Amino acid sequence: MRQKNMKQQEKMINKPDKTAIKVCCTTCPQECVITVSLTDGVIDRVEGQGCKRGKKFAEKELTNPERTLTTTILVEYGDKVYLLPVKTADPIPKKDLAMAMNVIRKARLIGPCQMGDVVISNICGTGVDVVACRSIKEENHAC
Amino acid sequence: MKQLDYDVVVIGGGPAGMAAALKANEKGATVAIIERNDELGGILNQCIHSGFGLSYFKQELTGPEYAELFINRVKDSDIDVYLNTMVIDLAPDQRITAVNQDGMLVLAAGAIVLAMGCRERTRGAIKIPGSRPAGVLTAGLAQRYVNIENRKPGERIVILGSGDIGLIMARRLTLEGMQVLGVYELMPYANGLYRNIKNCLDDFDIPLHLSTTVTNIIGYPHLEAVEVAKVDENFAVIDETREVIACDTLLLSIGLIPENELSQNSGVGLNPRTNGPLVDEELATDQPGIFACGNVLHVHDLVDNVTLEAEQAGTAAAVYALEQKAAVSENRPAENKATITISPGENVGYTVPAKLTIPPQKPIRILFRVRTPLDQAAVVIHTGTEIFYQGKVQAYKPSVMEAVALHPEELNRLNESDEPITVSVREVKK
Repeated sequence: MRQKNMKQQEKMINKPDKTAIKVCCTTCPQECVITVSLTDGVIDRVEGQGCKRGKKFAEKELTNPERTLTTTILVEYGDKVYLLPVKTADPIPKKDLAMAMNVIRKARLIGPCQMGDVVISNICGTGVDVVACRSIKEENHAC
Repeated sequence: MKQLDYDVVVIGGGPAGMAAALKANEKGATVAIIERNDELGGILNQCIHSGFGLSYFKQELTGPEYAELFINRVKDSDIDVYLNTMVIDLAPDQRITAVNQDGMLVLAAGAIVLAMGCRERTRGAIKIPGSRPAGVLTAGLAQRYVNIENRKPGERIVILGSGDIGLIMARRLTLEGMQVLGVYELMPYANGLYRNIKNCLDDFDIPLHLSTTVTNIIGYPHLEAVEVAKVDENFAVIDETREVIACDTLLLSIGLIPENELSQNSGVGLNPRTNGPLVDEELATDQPGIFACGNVLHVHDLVDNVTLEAEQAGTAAAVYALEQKAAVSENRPAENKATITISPGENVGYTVPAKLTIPPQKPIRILFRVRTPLDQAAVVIHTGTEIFYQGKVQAYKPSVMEAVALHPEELNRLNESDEPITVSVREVKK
């Protein structure tokens, strides 16, 4: 075991530790397979992306992956209750998804609302707002 | 009984129906949308995840946002919308009979656009043995319960089928605090889009079991467990791999069927490969004046493609209705068009359109799906003797709908022969 560690150390001293990680971009339906090359754990090349968004996605995916969170919030309006679909206005760190869900699940709103309205600002200190994905009017389907 | 008359009547107020109605209206036709639900938007209203609109709106939207953008356009137009209204018959003479709380409606239409969408395959379609308890439901029904009706389907969930709705529900139920034990797929590959496997399963460490299926449903009156087992390459159950998994909910995400009972009443011929109407390049069915678009025609994976297809159908329906009106007033005889068949060849499951008017006047788009995943293959469009089009070498997956655009000049030679054209995807050796 010790010997193996020494060997690894030797390798690291003699030449940089090069690795290539394949990331499948999920920004759009093209599903580009992007190869990210690392030297000593630092990104030095990104290849295979079909657009600029791909490069950004692949870099993020290796350092701090982000996802757009979508869920629902209960809205009271008149004597009815509606489920309002909401989303984070931008992707938030993947590690914060569960924490954000806990906050959103406890929230209750009073209607009406317009699509795009901020319903929770700066969710969990991410700097990202949670916004309404539709308008709630009296004639809409209540639950 | 109320009698109404429109140039174009659109059956269904989802993404396909709204886009078709808007285009028909833009072309100068009087238009009505008939919708059985209490609001427009169709299935988009319950698809609260994002990923819609990337190609059509050039931005990532959720289903409800995509729907609302279209609902607002419909509201701003002079399209008549009949909500809570169910079409109960579409007669061969194109008379539409519908019912709502005011009673019966009869609509006469110059042209009809079928935009009724599709429904989910249920347990009966794949004949899972076992008891018949509560707790076995389709993924889309669970989606409606959770995202619209504020109801929880269960606590411990097993999902059969790796279709996109099943994958998306795996993530949704996990986020809402339910335990998704695994997704089981009969085929040796996943059926959903890769982005959904990654973002919905891998992100939440939900296992995907390929070549595995549910072989028994256990418990009554409520589901208590399912038995799963691996299958061999001939889909025969491997007995020694049978395993019982305790759960209270089984979600089925095992495919969609275009909803064509009404179309059949009117005599519209169906394509057995898609279960949708047989259409030409204008999306006209074999019944004059009846057009089809969206998931009632063939099941799409992206709503952006539904919108584009529906805009084409709406335009064609308006042009047809307005031309017919003019022809009747000028006493012109109806034109007779010659068509040839487009058939799926090697590795191709189906094509839309399935027939082509000759000589072609405009560029045409042929949509198709492959039957099995292919790593390196190229699409070839040919007759028995001649190749018209050869595509680039690329990977193909059954979950992704592909399109080929052909220019009229590429198809000019077709005038001379009646041979059907075939769309094949041929494997290319590395």
